[in-house]
Amino acid sequence: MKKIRILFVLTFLSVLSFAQTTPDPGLPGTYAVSRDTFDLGDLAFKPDSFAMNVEMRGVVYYPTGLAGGPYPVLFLMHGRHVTAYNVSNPSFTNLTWPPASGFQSITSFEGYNYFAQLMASHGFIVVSVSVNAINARDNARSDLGMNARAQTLQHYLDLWNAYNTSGGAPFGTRFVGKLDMQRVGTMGHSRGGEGVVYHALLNQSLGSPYGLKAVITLAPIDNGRKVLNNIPLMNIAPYCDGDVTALSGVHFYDDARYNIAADTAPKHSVLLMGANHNFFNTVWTPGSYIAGTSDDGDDLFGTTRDAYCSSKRTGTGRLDTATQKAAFCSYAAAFFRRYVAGDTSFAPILEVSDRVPPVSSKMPSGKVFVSWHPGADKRLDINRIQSASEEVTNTLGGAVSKSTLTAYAICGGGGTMTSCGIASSANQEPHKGSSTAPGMAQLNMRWASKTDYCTNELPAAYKDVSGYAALSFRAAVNFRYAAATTDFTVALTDSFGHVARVTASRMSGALFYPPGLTSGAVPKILFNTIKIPLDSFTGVNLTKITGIHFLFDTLTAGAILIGDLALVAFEDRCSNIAASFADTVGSGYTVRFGDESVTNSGDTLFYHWNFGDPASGPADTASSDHPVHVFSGAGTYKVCLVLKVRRPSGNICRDTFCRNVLLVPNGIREQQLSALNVYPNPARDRLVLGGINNGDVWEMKTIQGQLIVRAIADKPEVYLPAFLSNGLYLVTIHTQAGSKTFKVQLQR
Amino acid sequence: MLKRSLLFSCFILLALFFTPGFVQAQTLPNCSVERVVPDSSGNMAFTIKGDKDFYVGNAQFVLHIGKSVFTLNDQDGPYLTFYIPVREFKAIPEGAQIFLKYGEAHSDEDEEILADACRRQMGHYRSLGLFSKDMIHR
Repeated sequence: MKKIRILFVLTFLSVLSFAQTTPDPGLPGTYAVSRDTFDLGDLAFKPDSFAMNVEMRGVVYYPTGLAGGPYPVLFLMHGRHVTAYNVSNPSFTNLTWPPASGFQSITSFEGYNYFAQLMASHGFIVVSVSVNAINARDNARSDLGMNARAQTLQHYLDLWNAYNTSGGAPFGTRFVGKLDMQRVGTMGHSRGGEGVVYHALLNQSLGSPYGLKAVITLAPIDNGRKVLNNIPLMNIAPYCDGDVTALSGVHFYDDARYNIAADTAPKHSVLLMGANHNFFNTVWTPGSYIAGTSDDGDDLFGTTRDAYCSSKRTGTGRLDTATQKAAFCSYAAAFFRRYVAGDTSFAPILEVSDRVPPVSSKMPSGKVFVSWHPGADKRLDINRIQSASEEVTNTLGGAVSKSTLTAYAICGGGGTMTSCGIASSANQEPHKGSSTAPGMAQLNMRWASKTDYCTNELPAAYKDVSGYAALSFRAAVNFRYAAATTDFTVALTDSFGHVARVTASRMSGALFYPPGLTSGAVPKILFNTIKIPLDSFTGVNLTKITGIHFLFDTLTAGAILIGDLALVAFEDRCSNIAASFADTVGSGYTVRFGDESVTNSGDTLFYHWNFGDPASGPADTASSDHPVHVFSGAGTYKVCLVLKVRRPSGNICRDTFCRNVLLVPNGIREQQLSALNVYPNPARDRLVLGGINNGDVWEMKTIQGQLIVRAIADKPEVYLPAFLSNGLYLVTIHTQAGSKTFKVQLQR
Repeated sequence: MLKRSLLFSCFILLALFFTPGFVQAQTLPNCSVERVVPDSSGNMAFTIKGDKDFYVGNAQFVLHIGKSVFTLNDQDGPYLTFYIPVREFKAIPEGAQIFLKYGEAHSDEDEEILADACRRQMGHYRSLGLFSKDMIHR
């Protein structure tokens, strides 16, 4: 019985340590959604860089009624696909434009309606545009029609800017003043993916007439190797892509990382294991459209030939169409809601803090991997792993040392840099370069002893790492030499000789052995971020760190590829926001609530109260800062305050605070509160919270009201953060009977 | 008559609803060199014919002849035409291996790798035999 109890406690602690509170970005929002189409003709616009006119046609999803606004805007652009089918025999498709007599145009632009619907329900206006004419002729152009895609998309933005300013057919004045053209996001699939990168560069070159805040490349090609900086970027890579099998979009992330020193825009990538190319678009998906569909994964890998990417193979890793779309929705929604709508509550998903995917994605942890390259102002590069010199001296000037590793070289960067020698096909090493094309340099390490290691020393000027949130690097298992899933230890040492170790697999599933056995396509080397919070390294002084060590002490042999070793801070996270309230019980079950939340001056605050008292009807919610609620009777009520904050930057932050309110005769209440006390006072490194009960919450603030700690008071003794300086602090204990605040002197 | 016509239309719509639609395989068809002719712009138009239409996808068709790599093409049903500058065409040695690939263009791609992929019947690779100047006007 005791063992069971211990097991239960351990399980509970383990769940607690992985608890995630990030809202789910892929759940439907609160807006009802309407839809309309527009069609200005098959040959309505002539891009300068293209031999023929192109169509202006699309579909728009928007919040029904368009109350308020302006709303942030998304533009979606499909990829290359057949353009028309024969009406009397849909097995005949072709690549002509405009469609010939007897042929009907294929509406690839309608293939993302499921995503447009979701985003509109969150208050976006989403326009998905048709570019069939470009598809019809792009192979005959050396840029594969990318400049035409860019110009055409910009023309679509111009069109919608006109709808926003003066209106026009077919919408009249419906959208006037409803689009925020300074909060725009774009998503392009496949060739459309490279197209939105070209478009973002075109918009920049024009002086950024439209405020492009975020760009998603979904399974894109990257023929032109254009590099997009200064705009947040996300690349989504489907592992079982049977069309763009080389997953070329990894270059958009790789090439942009160190391209511009002052680039503060983050880069993200999402690897979706088991996803193919076409299922993101319902018009390209078998069973969802009348003509021209295919399962590219099965076409390339066979329905049963590949152990992972064949959909009919026993134990297949392939995603069904619904799961693939759900996964895309979750991560793309998190990205656009974060960077276009400014809702930073999704940052933990994008910044690799959350290890469990959002429930709406339908993805288990082992099938989706997020990478994050923070902006230059949020990152200290320890070893960029860009050139051979960084095998011995890292980016900060610290020494790099190693044991006698079986292999140790920076490789794969293309040009004259040596190849990593892993696969003969570029499809299996998407990141690498060739003699004529740049790639991502990577540190190739193989070990054959548990005493093997690699160390990056930190020069004296960089020993204080306490201002950063985490240690971060990207890694991939070298499938040619590793036998299976790999693991190793990451350690920090300080100038006092202390060592703190963290096993990499504890922090990430990224060290998996890449699946599949189709020579020339899979397995693939794909780099994923492993982020280790610095507070995981216990026992070292973070202001005196001397070295960062990879200790290969877990397995007797292994092979790993490493990139981008850095210390990272959080992006513009919602710091200094903490919802809180006090309550005063009056007569007749009347309770007066008072906002005690912590925010920045200049924030605009929005309150949503729920008193947990449904019997009170509509009065159960309120939106003022100091509401009064008359409860229906004696009892315990769970009262929640959802505090939403709009920062001057436009970012939206949110925090929720819930507490039980016990309505009892005043005498009993006073008795319970009077039992609370805090000691010793003055305090040194710990406090005892006297008189608390299970479920009480304690918090500590500076005398100016800045929140330092808030936690469940699950035991009376609490330790005070080491970084606090001496002075006066406010310690509040929130109980069911009410709250009580003490002034505590810290004296160390 | 109208009733029968309506019933038939409903049947067709239902059939479309419950079937996967008209699906196209995203692999290269069996194919061969159809003809090689000079065109009016000073290029050699190198046309490949498949036994069915070439798939319309997002990667590129890449023609490897020996160490030369060509991508610029027209796609029309079962025909792919690559336009090879005459000077480059003349430099191609007799007997060079010809491969058609669907994917990325890499000028340093090894012929052995391409040959191996064809032997393994990878859907994105086809061997088209050996190059000969006799192909012109064929």
